[in-house]
Amino acid sequence: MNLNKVLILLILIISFIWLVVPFTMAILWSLVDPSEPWTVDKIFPPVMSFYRWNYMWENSNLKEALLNSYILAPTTALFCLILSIPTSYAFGRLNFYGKEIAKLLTLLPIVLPPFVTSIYFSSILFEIGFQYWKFGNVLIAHVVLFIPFSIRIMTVCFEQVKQDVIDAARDLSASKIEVFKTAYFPSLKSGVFASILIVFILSIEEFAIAFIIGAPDFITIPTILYSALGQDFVRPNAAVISLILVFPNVILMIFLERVLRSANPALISGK
Amino acid sequence: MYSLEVRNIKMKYDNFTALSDVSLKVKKGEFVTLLGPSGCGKTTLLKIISGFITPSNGNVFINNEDVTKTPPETRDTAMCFQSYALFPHLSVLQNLSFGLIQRKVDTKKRSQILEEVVAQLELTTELEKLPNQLSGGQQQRVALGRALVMRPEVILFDEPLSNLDALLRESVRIEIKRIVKLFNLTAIYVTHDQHEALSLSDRIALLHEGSIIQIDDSETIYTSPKNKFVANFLGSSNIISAKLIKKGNKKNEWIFQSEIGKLVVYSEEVSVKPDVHISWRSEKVTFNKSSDNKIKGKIENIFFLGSHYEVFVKVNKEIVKINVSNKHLLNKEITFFLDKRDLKILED
Repeated sequence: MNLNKVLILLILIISFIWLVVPFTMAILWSLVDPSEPWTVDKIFPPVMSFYRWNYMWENSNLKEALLNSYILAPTTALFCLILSIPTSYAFGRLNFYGKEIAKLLTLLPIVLPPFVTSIYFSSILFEIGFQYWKFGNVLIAHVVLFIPFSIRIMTVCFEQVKQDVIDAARDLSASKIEVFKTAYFPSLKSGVFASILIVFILSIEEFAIAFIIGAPDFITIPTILYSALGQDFVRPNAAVISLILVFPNVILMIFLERVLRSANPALISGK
Repeated sequence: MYSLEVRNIKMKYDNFTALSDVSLKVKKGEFVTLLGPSGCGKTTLLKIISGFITPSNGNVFINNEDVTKTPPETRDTAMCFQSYALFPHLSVLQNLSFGLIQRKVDTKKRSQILEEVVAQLELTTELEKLPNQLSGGQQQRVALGRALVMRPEVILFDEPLSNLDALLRESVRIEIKRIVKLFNLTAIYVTHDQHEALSLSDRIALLHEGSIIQIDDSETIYTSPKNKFVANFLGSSNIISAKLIKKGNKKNEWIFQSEIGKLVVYSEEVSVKPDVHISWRSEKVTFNKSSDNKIKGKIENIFFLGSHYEVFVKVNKEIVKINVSNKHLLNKEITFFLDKRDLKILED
């Protein structure tokens, strides 16, 4: 067996342990019926039902959290994308003094630990009288925290736009809008989707800011998940919430992956 | 009237001068090549003509109209890019009609123009394909077609053959010449390839360090290079220093003493400097004894190049390069002759 095969096998084993085992365990735990506990001597739960799913849906703030999370995450993704475009354009297409330093500075929010950012944000937002609009506060904080990802992705996309293609469009009398549509957009399309996907996932899974700034009035899925993991830890309930958190992300990833495949690099580069 | 006139163009980037006082006049239907080594300013000049760069000084006229400050969108030029710059997500037909749609040409006229160009470029079967489904030669033809449909006053080519392999390069070169003549287009063609320049152009402008060194028709620029740079850049030349001895007995004849012996040179100049450089093309040697200059030397190296042998001959202390077709002439020593009209006195 050569080294390549060994490495592939190793990756497969790690992926299995890393992804398949926790997923399977979460699914199984979420189906454990309270009438018969799942003990260590049994490979599978002795009795399986959707009792936990029903219970969590009826007896927790899950509905409200789902609504909040699924409004917050796409809004954050959209704001990050829109706000990142001018900066990314400057980084990707323009030459100016101190560009590399500016690029590094935009990454700062990623470097700071989320709890530090959260506490700083809560104090500053309360200071300026924003304490009552919890959704807005969490949204602003999420946008600031995740915009570096959008900037990074969109900068690379802007860098990939070929100057010759822009010049060709201009040479053929295209208006500014048409130049954007024809020369820029095909290269930016994959970046737009990638940025939305990444920021959406980061925002929907974010806990520290949502908890420190939003709680107790504004709850998201991770807020409930963390409380389910806290003092009243019930493993099957936690499994239900974690699956609710993960499934839409997986579906979204599959959907965007298909969209991104249609915007393949070969098509963009023309080679 | 000139289709294109470039008047005293200067282009400076901080401390670097890309073009210094370049002037050029191009007649309607003329094919002019801007030839020169990398960094000589030829692409900068092309971008100034197309409107992508505004010169630091000087003016560009198209059909006698000053277009120096006119943006490329409204300038009556069309460019064929080195990378083809086709829109990758648009089909061949959409690429070809892009410019016409932008200029809001009505549908009937648009299809008429497209039909003609598509037929001339033999693209009828490729119209629905995307650029990445075409070969390099086909992509180049689409790029040419996209420029042609605009019916520009001046068509600009930025090293359009440099991404093609040798065989394809030849066929596309023939195609470009045919199409440009067919549509009677004024063409400015940028290249660093002397073969492309010599075969395509009505005139060649040779650029060096931001200036046009010589502008002439292909034959003149090749046979009568103005200076050492032109002689070296175009074709294979021997350049030797020589001292003037006297004026010859016949009209326009000058006699020089050089490293390879006494040389009789034909020149119509009224006066000649005492110290000069004389150049002659490697292929201009003859073995006809009636020629004016007899040179004898020792063969140092022979390289077979297919159509001929490239022979390095030591004449006194000087090594000269000659092209010989007949293998039987290649012994240890060789005697060859140079016609006085094939020897050129260089300006510097």
